[in-house]
Amino acid sequence: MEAELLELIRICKTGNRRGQTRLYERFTPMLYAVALRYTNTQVDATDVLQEAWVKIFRHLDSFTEHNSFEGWMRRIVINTAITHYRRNLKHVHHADIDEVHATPADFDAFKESDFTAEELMQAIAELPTGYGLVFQMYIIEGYKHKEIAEMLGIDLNTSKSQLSRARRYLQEVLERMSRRAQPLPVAAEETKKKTIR
Amino acid sequence: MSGFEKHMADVLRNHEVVPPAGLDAQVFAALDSAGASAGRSLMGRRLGGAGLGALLLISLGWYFGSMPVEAPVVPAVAESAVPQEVVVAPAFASEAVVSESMNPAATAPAKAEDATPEPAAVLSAKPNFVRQDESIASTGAQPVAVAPLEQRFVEGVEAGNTEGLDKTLLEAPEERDGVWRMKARVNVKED
Repeated sequence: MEAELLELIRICKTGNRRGQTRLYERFTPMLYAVALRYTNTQVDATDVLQEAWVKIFRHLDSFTEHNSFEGWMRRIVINTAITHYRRNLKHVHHADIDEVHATPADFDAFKESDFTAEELMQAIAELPTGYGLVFQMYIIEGYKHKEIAEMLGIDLNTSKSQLSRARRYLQEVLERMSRRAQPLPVAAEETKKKTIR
Repeated sequence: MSGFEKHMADVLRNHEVVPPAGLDAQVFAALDSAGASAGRSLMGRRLGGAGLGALLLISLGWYFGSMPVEAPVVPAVAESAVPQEVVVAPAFASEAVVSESMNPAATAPAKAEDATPEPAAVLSAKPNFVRQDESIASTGAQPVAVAPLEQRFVEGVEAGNTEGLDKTLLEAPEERDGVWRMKARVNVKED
């Protein structure tokens, strides 16, 4: 860990407001992106991030400096988002999708350059919340199914099936986005011009 | 995990989004509020503890304050039960220094009220044991002003009157008081 960050953390541990502001400014864009991915709405993401920052500042003493500070903060945001999700579970409506499970190979049709980060964020945001949580925790954060099951309070097999469904759902979303982005065929372009005239 | 998924994970892990304006103010207000509420709860606990302590003190004060002031009750103890150094002796120990507690007959009635007291005839058959409450005239012994134990011992040794004393123990002055007592009692019995 860089010395400057270590010093900043030590300052923040004393409750220094300037240090806290610097830490906040440095990491909030990254943490806000995490919160946004796990909640899908700006309002919820703001709530989660606010709660997470309070936890970060109040529990800064428990952070040990040989660990990744970024990872520690990211985990707090994710845990806060999961708590937020559970709290609002009764308001979440799950979309029914086909029970056709997907495999990682289904994504091979897509090229890495096809989508920007914003588009990927948008695709993730379209996932039903339960699927989205499992997908992000497994694919992006690198948690194991056992860990995900414990954190979300679900069965191990549920975690696996949720991931599979999430893959299927995401594949459909990306295909739809890809179709929209494709240029129209030449014949269709000419017909369009004539109609405009 | 497919290559596309890995790419997606890398992109999203490093993605940053500018937060809405005013979030920082909300965060620090929440932080202050959380700190204040934590402080309040701590203060509440302290006040609660102090309140309980004050209540306890008031209760104790009321309890003891409402008790009638009476003379302390002292259990009746027979005079003879209190060990007393009774001396009917000349200046040195080897002749006669007696603790009344050595006489089991003297303490027995105090230990158990229903115990049968030793007949007076038996007591009178032990001329070396003199009770303080007995008439001096009955024993014929004269009361002697007694110096402190230590002083008597030292005076006895200085006067060369070491009869019945262990010489080796005399060389350990810190032990002499106890030894002196022991020897004196032995001597009394021998007498």
